[in-house]
Parts: sequence; C-alpha cells; structure tokens
Amino acid sequence: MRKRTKFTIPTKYVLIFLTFVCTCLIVLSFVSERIGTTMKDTIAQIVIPVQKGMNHVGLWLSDKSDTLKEYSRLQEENEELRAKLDEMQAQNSILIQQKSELDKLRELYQLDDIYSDYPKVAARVVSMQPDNWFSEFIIDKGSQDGITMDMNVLAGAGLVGRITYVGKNYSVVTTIINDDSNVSAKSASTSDNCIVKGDLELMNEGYIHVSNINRDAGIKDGDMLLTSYISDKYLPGILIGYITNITDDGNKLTKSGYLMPVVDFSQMEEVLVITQLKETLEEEETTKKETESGQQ
Amino acid sequence: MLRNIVTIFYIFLLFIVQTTFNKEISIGNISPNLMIILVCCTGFIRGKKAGMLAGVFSGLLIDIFYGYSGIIGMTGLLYMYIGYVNGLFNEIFYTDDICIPVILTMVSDLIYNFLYYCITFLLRGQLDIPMYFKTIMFPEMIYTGCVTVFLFRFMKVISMLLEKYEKRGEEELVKGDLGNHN
Repeated sequence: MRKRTKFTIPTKYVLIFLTFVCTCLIVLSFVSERIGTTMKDTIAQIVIPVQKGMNHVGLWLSDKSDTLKEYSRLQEENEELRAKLDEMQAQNSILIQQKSELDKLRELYQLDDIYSDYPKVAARVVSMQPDNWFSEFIIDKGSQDGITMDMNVLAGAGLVGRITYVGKNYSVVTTIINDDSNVSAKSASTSDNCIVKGDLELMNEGYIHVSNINRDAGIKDGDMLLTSYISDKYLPGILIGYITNITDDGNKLTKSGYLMPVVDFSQMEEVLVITQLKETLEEEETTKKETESGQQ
Repeated sequence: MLRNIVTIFYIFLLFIVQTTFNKEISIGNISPNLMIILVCCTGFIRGKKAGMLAGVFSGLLIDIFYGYSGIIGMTGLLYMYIGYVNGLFNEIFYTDDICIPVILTMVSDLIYNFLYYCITFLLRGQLDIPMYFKTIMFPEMIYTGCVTVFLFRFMKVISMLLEKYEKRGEEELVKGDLGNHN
C-alpha cells in the first residue's frame, strides 16, 4: 500500500464524488424507470443464477433433514389422509353432479366462466427482501419467459401479490402484506366491497388489515374475501383469505377487520404467475361484446 | 488488491446469504442485517476509504434488486456514509477489541433503520415510531449485534492472514531491491 500513496486521491473528495453519483442515480431512477434497467439486468445475469443455485442447495439440505425427521410422522399422516381421501371422493362425486347443474344454470344466465381458470406459469422463489421493513421477493422468471408488469401472483389457491418489476431473467413480486400495497376485495357470500391493506405491524402476526366495509354490510367473521371487479391491477375472483374480528370504526360509517390470508407468506418456494393481465381481459371482453352485438 | 478482491467476495457472498436464506436465519420474522455488519467491520478494520467503497457497492447491490419503489442509490448513499463514519474509528481505536465494533455496528444499524424508516414510512404518514422501534429496529439491532461477534472475528482472522501474506511479499520486494543495488 505504501508505494501507491503518491497517486491516491484524498478520501474526502472520493466521498463527495460518490455522494454526487448516488444522488444522480436517485434522481435519474426517480424520473425514469428505464435508466436503471440496463444496470439491473447486467447485475442480474450474475446474481440470479447464483441465488438459484444457493436455493437449490438450501432446498436439498432442508429436504434431507425433513426426510429423516418426518418419516414416522408421514406414515401416520398417510393413514389419516387415506381416510380423508375416501371421504373426499364421496364428496367429490356430489360436487361433480352439482357442477354440471351449475354449468346448466350458467348457460341459462349466459355467464361465461372465464374467471375460473386463468393461464398460469409456475416460477420458483429465489430470494427475499434483505431487510425487515418490506415484503418483496424475486422469482426466476422474467421478460424472456413472457412475464410483464402487474401480473398477479398466486401460491396454492390464494393471492400472493403482483409483479412490480420485470428484468430479463427475474422479476420482483410485491406481496399483499407489504406495507404500501392495497387490494380492492369483496366478500364471496355478500359481495360487499372493502379494501385489504398491508400493515407492517400485523405482518409479523400473519394478518392483514381490512377497512372501508360499509356499515350496513352483511359481512360476517369467517367470510371468504375475493379480489373484486373494481380493482384495476388484480383479476377478479381470486381468493385472498378469510375475514375475522370485524369491528365498527370510530366514525360509525364503516367497519374494519382483519384478514387471515390463505397463503403462508413465510414458507413460499413456488408460486404461480397468471399470464393474463386485467387490462387485456377487459379489452377482450369489450371486443367480444362488440362482435356479438355486431352479429346480432 | 487482494484485500479488495476479498471484500468484493464478502459483499457478494453476504448478499446472497442475506437474500436467499433470509427466512432460515430469521428469528421471529426478524433477520440480522448482514450487509451492515460487513460495511461496519470493513470500515473498522481497513479504514474509511475501504469502508466507504464497501458501503457504496453493497448498498447499490441491494438497491438494484430491492430498492424502495425502484429507486437506485438511496441505500448506497446511507451505507456509504455508515462505512465512512465507521472508518473514522479505525484511527482512534485498536482493531483487536471485539467490544467496539459490536457497539459500532449496533448503533449504525439503529441509525440506518431509523433513516430508512423516515424515508419509506414516515413520509407516507406512518407515525407510530415507538411501535416500529419495538417490533423492528430494536430486535434487529440486538440480533445484528450478536452476529457481529462471530462475523467480526472471522473477518479479523482473514485480515490478519492477508497482512502476513502482504508482509512476506513486501519483504521479498525489499530483498530484491537490495539485491539489485548491490
């Protein structure tokens, strides 16, 4: 080190220079989102594959330890599940009958069931938000797999969040429990509208805040909440969770409560991305209606 | 040169660990801030310039992937100043003591989290500072402090090994010079 002391610039100036660079970056990335994209993609080419690899190692390790630990438990569970399966099969046959009935009724009402199955793509969670303030994660599918902004993300049967940034080989998912995300929801049984709002305080307990329920709404504890038709980012009819603890607000005009999401946000390995966007869905519907009216 | 490569390797490794094993290393949903430990310890062991550079690079790496609403440079800026300030203590204290880097890291983590809260939460009107302090800042500070004890020891050992290697190189150089003069 001593040899080079002649050429080094004083640290103070480097500090000022770097502060200037950082400030420029903040301003540039604030003004236009495109500026950072090239930078992000370049770094992602190195980081994402390594994260994927580490993830595989982690999964393999936890897999091995789980197999040793849970062998006996699994046997018990297997028996239990077998019994349950028989029960379910019986129930299923009843449901199939009801389904055909429902289809007939839907035909009568001319309701199209496009909402029941959206096209989906599976993706693996590769990394999590490094700090404790927000809840975001990265998945291993990006623009080269046909992912675009604002696509909805599911895990199992429930809503996880939506895509807020798309890189070439990765994308960032912001979850609904994130402190700054809001979802417009409705009750499955009574169709009352409400707002599901992420909250850091409740996030650790696994709850989300529900607000703006109408005072006269017939919503009850334990009701299912689905994404509503009003939302412009979320597709309608996706299960979010179950509402509990409904109480009157101080203003006596609205009620609020807590939502227990169906997704376990602490244990996510694989998620499903719905490749249908809300905007295009609406466009399709309007064009469909237009063609139909044109035919008539 | 070798030290810089080692620091870059640290940044990369800890970032990967922090992001991929975030849930595994967390206790009660609170994970330690490994990156800030790295920045503080680098600053404390190697001085203000190295701390500053380590800070700006690790901060930018976090920003690139998890920057708050896509803004690049904010965490970089905060980490850079943290690294620089910690580097100032390098000249005051002996770097063999474990107590000072732990306290420095804990204070840095608290300050960083408070500033981060101010930028991302306070400006959105989330005013419940005691709650955020109790649920996030304080637990993270304690956990980060505990991890620092081990990480600092590890980094110190590596640093001493590097020092030995550098000294040997220098001695050979000096010998070579002397040989040429004679």
